[in-house]
Amino acid sequence: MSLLVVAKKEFAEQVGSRRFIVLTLLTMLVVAYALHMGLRIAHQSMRAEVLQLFIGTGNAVFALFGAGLGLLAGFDLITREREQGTLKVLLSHPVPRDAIILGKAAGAFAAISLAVACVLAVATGAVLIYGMPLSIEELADVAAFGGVTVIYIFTYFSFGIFASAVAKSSGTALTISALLLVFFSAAVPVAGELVSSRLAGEPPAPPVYEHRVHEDGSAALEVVAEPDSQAMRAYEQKMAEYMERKRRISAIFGLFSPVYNYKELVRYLMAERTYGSHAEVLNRLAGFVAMPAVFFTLGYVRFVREDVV
Amino acid sequence: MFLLITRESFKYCSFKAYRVIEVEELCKSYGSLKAVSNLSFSVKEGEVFGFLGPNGAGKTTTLNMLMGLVVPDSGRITVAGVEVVEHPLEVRRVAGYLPENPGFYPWMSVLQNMLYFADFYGLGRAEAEELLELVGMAGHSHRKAGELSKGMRQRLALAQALLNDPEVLLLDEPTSGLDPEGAAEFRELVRRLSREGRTILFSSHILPEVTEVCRSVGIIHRGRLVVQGELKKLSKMRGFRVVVETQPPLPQEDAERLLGRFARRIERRDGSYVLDCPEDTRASISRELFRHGYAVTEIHAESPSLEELYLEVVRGSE
Repeated sequence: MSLLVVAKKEFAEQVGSRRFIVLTLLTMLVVAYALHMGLRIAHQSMRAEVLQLFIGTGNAVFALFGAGLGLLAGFDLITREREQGTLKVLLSHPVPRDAIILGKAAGAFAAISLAVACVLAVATGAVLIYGMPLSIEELADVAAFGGVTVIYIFTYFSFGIFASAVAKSSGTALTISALLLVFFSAAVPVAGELVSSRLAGEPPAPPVYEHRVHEDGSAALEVVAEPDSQAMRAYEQKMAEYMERKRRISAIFGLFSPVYNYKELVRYLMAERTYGSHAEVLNRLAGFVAMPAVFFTLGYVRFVREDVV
Repeated sequence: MFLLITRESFKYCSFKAYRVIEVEELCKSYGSLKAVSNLSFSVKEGEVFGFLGPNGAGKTTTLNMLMGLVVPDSGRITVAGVEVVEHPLEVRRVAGYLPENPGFYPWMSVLQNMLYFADFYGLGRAEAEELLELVGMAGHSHRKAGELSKGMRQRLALAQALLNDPEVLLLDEPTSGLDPEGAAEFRELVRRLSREGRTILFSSHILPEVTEVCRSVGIIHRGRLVVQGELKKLSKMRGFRVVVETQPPLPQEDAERLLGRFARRIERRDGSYVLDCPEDTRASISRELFRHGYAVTEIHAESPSLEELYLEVVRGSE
């Protein structure tokens, strides 16, 4: 019961906060504008691409604004309560600490879901205005995209609430949250690229070029193999293996990057579930869900154990 | 035959004066800093207990431990028969707490703040409004909490501390930052709550208000309780100051010879003598002086103020 009381208040506080309203409206506007521009040039014959356009636009916009929305929703949830003196008042009532942090998470989750639902409703409306109604299956795909997006935003919320539990002030919590965002969304994928390039070895040399010296003394690389020759096919085969090796190493790092996981899962949805192997998608999904779970648990443990002074 | 003893019956049958708060050998350190060290005290039922000490003495840490907000390193605390370390939530059902510098959600109104906390007890608007009325905040229930003055915030904090109709009230520096009028009103509220039979622990470093509100006090210094008892008894323990004036004026050597056995210390002040006596010996002093040819023109006894007692105790423990 205490959990529900906290969740209700938290939801009201989140949806009523200026930063939440501004970020949600901004996301809505950008999605609607991008769809409007895309649909204006799309022809009715491109019907099959509408869903791709819909989800692709949402994906790009949410990847950017969603991270901010999640982070800002969580970074000062506990520090602000400490700073304004409400945490002590709240804890002087018979409210278990886990009900406080779980209630805060539940309220924020509901608010994030509402924001995503609003953006998707606006996007669906934009598509309908262009006379391209979505089928039931397409709407289900949009809903699945919404679900993945909520988890993506909640990941950044979990960074925020973890920072809020360990930091003494909201300023420090914001810094920690931002560092986590940069580390997992930028540093990890870049590190993945660098490590995969190193571990995958040298790319195969193309057999189709040869260093030739002409009669006039000039030298140049020239094509000596035809595209369908055996040498060319062998090269292509080796190149594909090399790229796959690199992608696999990179994908391991990608498991620790919310934005990488999010984009890969959305790509899977857009490709009508033909992108990537089943095991690969499951791994990605596990990585995608594990990250917010880990950070939220760390924040939870810190909060329930701390002395309230 | 088995006898069913509930907490209520136990407290009324077993002790003449039920100890609502009992603290035994309490210790709490933060790193190398000993915030509370072997602290023991008790508060009887219905008592307003003044918990005195200079800033940083360990008062707030002790109150936090009493409410289960901070876990002690060692020691035992019971509040209204509930073991705090083992059952912190249970304690918060029987005790109300007004922390130092209480905060409220600034975007919510006074009533909304109250309703939020009331929700944890399954209470509704009627109870919340009743308490706002009690603390004189009924006229401000629709104001945003962020717009309240310090005095109003303290009243609201008292109202939320009373939501569970607590047997025990812990007030941490409740009048600090209030103007004299606000502080006087707040003290009146505390007296009113005391008349209702609640046990109140009143933490403060403002001595006159403790004298005004409390019947007994405990003085804490550097995390240790240096003295505890009823104010009257403590004053008696500290002794009396007897001021005496005679005709003819008493010479210094006679004062020491005649009155030395009644006083621990004799001091001359503006033609009078001030005697630091362990008890009120005015009658014996008068007789002794009369017997030696001195007429007593003025004699009165003064009890030491709480401030003097406090300073003496605090300085003595340094």
